[in-house]
Amino acid sequence: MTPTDVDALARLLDGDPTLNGEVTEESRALGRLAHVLATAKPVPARPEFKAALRAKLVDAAREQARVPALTRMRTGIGASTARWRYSTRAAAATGAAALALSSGGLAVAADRALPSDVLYPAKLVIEDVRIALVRDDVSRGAAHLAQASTRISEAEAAAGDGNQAGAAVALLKADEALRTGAGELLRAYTQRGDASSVERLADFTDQQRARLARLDDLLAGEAAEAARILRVAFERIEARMMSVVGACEGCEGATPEPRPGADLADIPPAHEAFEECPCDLGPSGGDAGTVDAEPPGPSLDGAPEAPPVQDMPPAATDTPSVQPPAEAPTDDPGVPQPDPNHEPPPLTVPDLPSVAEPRRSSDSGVVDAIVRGVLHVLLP
Amino acid sequence: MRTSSEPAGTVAASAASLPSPAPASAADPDVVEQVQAAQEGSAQAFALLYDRYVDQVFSYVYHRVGHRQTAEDLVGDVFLRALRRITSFKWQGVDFGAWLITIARNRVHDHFKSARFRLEATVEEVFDTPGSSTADDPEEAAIHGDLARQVHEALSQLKGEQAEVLYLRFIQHLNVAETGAVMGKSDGAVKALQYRALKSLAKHVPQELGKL
Repeated sequence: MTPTDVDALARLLDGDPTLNGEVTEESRALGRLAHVLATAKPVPARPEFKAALRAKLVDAAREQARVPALTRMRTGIGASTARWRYSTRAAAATGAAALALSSGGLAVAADRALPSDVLYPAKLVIEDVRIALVRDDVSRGAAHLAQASTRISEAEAAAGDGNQAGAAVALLKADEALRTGAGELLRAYTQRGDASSVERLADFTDQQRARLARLDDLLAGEAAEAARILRVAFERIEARMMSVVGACEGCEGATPEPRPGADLADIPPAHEAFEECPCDLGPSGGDAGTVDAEPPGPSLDGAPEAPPVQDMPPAATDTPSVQPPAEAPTDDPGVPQPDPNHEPPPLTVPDLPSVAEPRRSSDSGVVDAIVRGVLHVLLP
Repeated sequence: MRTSSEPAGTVAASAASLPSPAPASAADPDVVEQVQAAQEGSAQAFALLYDRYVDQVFSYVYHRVGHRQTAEDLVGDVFLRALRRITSFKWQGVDFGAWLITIARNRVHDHFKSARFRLEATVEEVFDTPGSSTADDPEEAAIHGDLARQVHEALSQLKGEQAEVLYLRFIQHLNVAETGAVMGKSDGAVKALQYRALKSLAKHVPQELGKL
């Protein structure tokens, strides 16, 4: 087989009139074979099958068209979408209203959606709304961890289908949910000494890291990069758990107290710098230990990469190249610190009555308030 | 990609060339309009696209899996997936029919992977009976029909990409570029693959070539 033979056959099959004596007898014979294949009339599908499938597709298309608001909210979700920027008020109000008004049908259908499915955006919105209605930090943290676990399950399903883009989306969302949930649980420990929250977080990271390791073989390209980002989150969470319990690996727990102003509940994303040892090392410790940041490289979300930072030995006299968080905790330990680096911003649900304990959106008073919110948002 | 309602196309003067393919569906204004309407939520528009392409998709899947019931199940999955992903379709070098075939190809691959299904085409059903070819001469039609049976039987013995490129190029009537888009290959790679595939096919029916 020579390139000339290949090209001559291709031109022959295309009916190139400029072909003259360039075609060998073998190529002509191959062309005749192709002609036999091409002129055989295929057997069509059974009319009964076609009619039944047509009716099923029409029903499915009509059902799909009934959720335009939610799909429009999430339009533009590309294969490598890493950030979700949307109106939290509209998202919470619209999603919760869909929950209230659908008699459970939409929520049930959306619950099974996978990345790339039409109802996947609705699924995420519904989850966010449910979590927003949870009031205590431990329950909220657990809910975010459950979200992260669900995202990993979706990534497993997508990767199994060969949908690398969908797996990437799910893993990046898992990263966000994991860091948010970990922050809630770490804060519960640092502010109230709730040891069970850290234990829960430790068990969760062990289980999910094992799942991620098993998933690695199925991932490629952007999905593999998303998995790496998620692994970085696990590593940082584990480092932070060690710090909060006084077993900091950066300073080997020499001084278990964190520096004033160090936010131990803050787990930055992989592309941002991370202070592995946030401990107070005393008057000589202006340098706060090892600072870890991701090396610059292609970013899935277009966010600027953190500059490379060299490791600094603990006894060095150089000042740290990354400033600790400037904000000190307020006097009210129950108020979470706003962090501009977190994506997406915390959800707020408008016009909710105060609730004494964490409860779901099944409360009719809450639902009525949310429906009012929907009307306020959607009607001009 | 030709639709079942369009004529088979005229055979070129040379017996070795293929029937002229119909204009690419991407240029068909009806298809463009129907795709846009379907993307905007029109169930009727999607149904019209289904009517246009269901036979081609079924033919491809049936040739690949060789079992009617299995093909019907998979074709149902293909169109449901196409409906769910209709908004992701873009006119970027691949027409709508080729996009459907890409979904079908992936679905068939999943089927083989999950069921470890071996391709065993039921040759008597897969292609039409003698007399359906464009030849008017009954004797020639009978000869052609018998040869077609042998060629398709030989095709069923090919595996992997060689079988696939022949299905896509000569049974689904995709051009080189469309076939490359479905298989993720360059035009040059498709041309080389179709050459090798036809040579492999010829090894199973060498004695019949002279009858054409």
